[in-house]
Amino acid sequence: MAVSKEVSASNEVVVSPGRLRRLWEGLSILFASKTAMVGLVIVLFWVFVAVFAPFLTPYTPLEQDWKAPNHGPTSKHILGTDELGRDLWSRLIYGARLVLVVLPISEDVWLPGGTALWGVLVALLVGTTLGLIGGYHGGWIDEITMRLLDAMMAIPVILLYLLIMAALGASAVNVVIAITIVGTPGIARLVRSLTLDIRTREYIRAAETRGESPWYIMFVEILPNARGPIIVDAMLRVGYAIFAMGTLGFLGLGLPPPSPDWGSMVAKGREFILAGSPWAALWPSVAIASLVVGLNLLADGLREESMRYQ
Amino acid sequence: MKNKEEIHLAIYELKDDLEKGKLTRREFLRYAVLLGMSAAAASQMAGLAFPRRVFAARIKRGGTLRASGAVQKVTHPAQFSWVVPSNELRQVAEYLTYTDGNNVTHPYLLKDWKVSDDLKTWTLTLRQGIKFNNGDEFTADDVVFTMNQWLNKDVGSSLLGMVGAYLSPTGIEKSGKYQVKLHLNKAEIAVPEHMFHYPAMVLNHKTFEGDFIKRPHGTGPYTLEVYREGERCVLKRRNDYWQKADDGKPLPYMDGMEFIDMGREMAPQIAAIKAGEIDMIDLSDAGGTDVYQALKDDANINILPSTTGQTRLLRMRVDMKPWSDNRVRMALKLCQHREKILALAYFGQGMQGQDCHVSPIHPEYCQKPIPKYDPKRAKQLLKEAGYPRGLDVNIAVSSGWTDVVRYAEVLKQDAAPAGLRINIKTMPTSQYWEKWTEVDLGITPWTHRPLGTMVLNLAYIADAQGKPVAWNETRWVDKEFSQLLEQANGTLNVDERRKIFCKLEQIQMDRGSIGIAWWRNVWMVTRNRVQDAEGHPTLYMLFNKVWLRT
Repeated sequence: MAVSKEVSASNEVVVSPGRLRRLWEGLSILFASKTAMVGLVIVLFWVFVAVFAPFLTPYTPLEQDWKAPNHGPTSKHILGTDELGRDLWSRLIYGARLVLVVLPISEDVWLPGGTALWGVLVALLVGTTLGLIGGYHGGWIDEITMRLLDAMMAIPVILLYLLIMAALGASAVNVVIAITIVGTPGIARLVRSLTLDIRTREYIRAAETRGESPWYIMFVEILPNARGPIIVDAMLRVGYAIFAMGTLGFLGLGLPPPSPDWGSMVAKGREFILAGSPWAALWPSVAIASLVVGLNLLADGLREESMRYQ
Repeated sequence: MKNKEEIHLAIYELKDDLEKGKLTRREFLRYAVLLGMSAAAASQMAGLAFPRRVFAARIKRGGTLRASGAVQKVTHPAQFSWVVPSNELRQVAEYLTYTDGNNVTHPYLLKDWKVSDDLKTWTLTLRQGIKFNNGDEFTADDVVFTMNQWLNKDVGSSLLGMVGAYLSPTGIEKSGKYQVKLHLNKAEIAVPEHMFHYPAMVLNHKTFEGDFIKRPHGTGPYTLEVYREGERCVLKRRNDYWQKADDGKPLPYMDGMEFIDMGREMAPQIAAIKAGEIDMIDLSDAGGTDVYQALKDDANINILPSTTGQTRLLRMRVDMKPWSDNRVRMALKLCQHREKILALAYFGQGMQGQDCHVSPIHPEYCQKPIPKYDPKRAKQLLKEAGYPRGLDVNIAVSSGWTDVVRYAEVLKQDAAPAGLRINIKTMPTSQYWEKWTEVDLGITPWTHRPLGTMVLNLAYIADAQGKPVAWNETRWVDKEFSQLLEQANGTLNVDERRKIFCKLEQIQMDRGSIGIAWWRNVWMVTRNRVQDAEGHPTLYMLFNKVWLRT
């Protein structure tokens, strides 16, 4: 026991400063880039309102006030109300929750992590695995996997989303599946190209000589060394996923009503733009645009700074 | 004026009812005209001056009306399933009758009709001297040919279900060059209305070979010059049209009409009519609420509203659980807060409904109270039906019909206190139409029909083999209801007919398969240079006498 305590204590002493240092180095890259900082502030704003949504509004996103539909901003409803008299600020920040904080499996069951984040995460898992296997093994496995993914990439993205959602039906889980299917080929291609480069390095030869298993080499030796471009790509993909959610919602194939889905809010609200009530369409459009721009700025800033740093 | 002997005996009963105040003048006109009396004679009998359009020198001839409307792929007019193509082609081919904006039906290509006392033999007399635009004369052969097309199973017309219920091909008799007799299998008074149903265009028996666009030979005021699917439809005035204007010259007043397919998006169409690039938006197959909202205060736009029998039907399949239990159906119906639904889903532009498919504008309508929103009673009914913890149900709706989605959203919220947890399943409109008769719970749009009997015969009865008819989407068949409807189909006296409808409506409200929260208004939307256009509950474009102000 005494020995293990010592080992544990010594590990803490040795490892913790290393992790902290790496974290500080990462953050210093972030802080060094003004572009990344602007992006971070925008993204953090949406994350904050999404996490604390229940404390930031007295209304629920589904509460209808049938005497006050399509009202402009007032002191009671700071962003106005939609066509069913629902508070737009509530719907906007609960909509951010769906994107960034929670994944609704059903009316009562939720998973932590937003729909867009889950979509990108699952796409990352699948795409990374396929890319690593294809890139490391090569041969017929690589050929078959990559030709199949090429075929998927040949289909226009919107069309692919529509096909998948029309086949599966509108729900949050199906949106995650659609984002995964559409995102996987691009991630697999990226990881494969990184793997092809890294597998020629000396330390991979050394690992092979040591007799490490292929899975160990792929996930412990290669993957950590490919993480930089993958993280930047993932950030951009979260932006694409938010756009995808907006597009699907706009086309009526996203999260089913009455979810405060930003895309469907725009679709419903645009009916009233020409009638003099642009608010219901304006705010979710601004939300989608700002969050995607924030994520892109963050990813661009990180990429530029990390390249300079290297 | 007709001789006394030629007037249907029932008209005297109707006159009696009118004098006793049992009938309104409009109802008297409707029934007298249906029984073969001319509108002018019926108006005189009712003590009304027949409204004649006084020709004023201000009417200008010339100009082309530009309208936005879908230019769909069409071949056989009897196969039309949308009003829009009929609005384009009704300017080229015409109908035997026409039902005006007040729901009164008049002879059109017919000179008149007579009906036997048992309402089973109809004698149709054609106007003489009418020519198709290819020079062929319009005769009884064309009427017989056209009706046989309706009743031909291979053609697959929706008229087969409507007219085929009482008429078979052997019942159509050519009794003269300008006369046709219809021998019906059973009594029916809606024959003239059916002859104006939008797929019932009269075809030229000599030239029609299945594709009207290839040989667009009709009796109408315009000829078809261009018909490009998805693009445009161009119509040009013909000079030998049979109807004369009040100045004695042939109609129409305009030189032509042009329909431009601007897609389904309303924003560009609203912008185009505001800018004067088009003169009207054909809303016959579109929602129109966004157009109404955007243009209602525009001084350059005329909006002609019509109250209708159009509705959004909350329909439940009675052959599927849990809707096979009337208590569950009633529970859902009780969850409709009708005033709120009308206000939010349709901006108050219509009338509240009563869960029976008879609109207050139908002549047979029997007034019923509007059912109250009652979630407590709904909860109790669900408990009695074996769902003490409530019930999860899916409702299928098209995301393309925004008022339907709003209806579903309001219903979802208002049904929650009763324990009905509704999941809204949205899908594209095309997908909804693929499964509209199959889903257990959904909201289906139903168009206006001039008589209450027409829609009840179409959707709430069984065929001769006992199977629900094709458009009976809820599979609801009720023996007592069917017998009463059969009786109503052959009952002329309006009081008696209304008495039957009181029972029919009550049965649908008590144990039927539908919820009707509201009846929709529709709008004919034109720029104000379009003169003398009239609103119509089905938004049929009856534009022979429309002219354009320069």
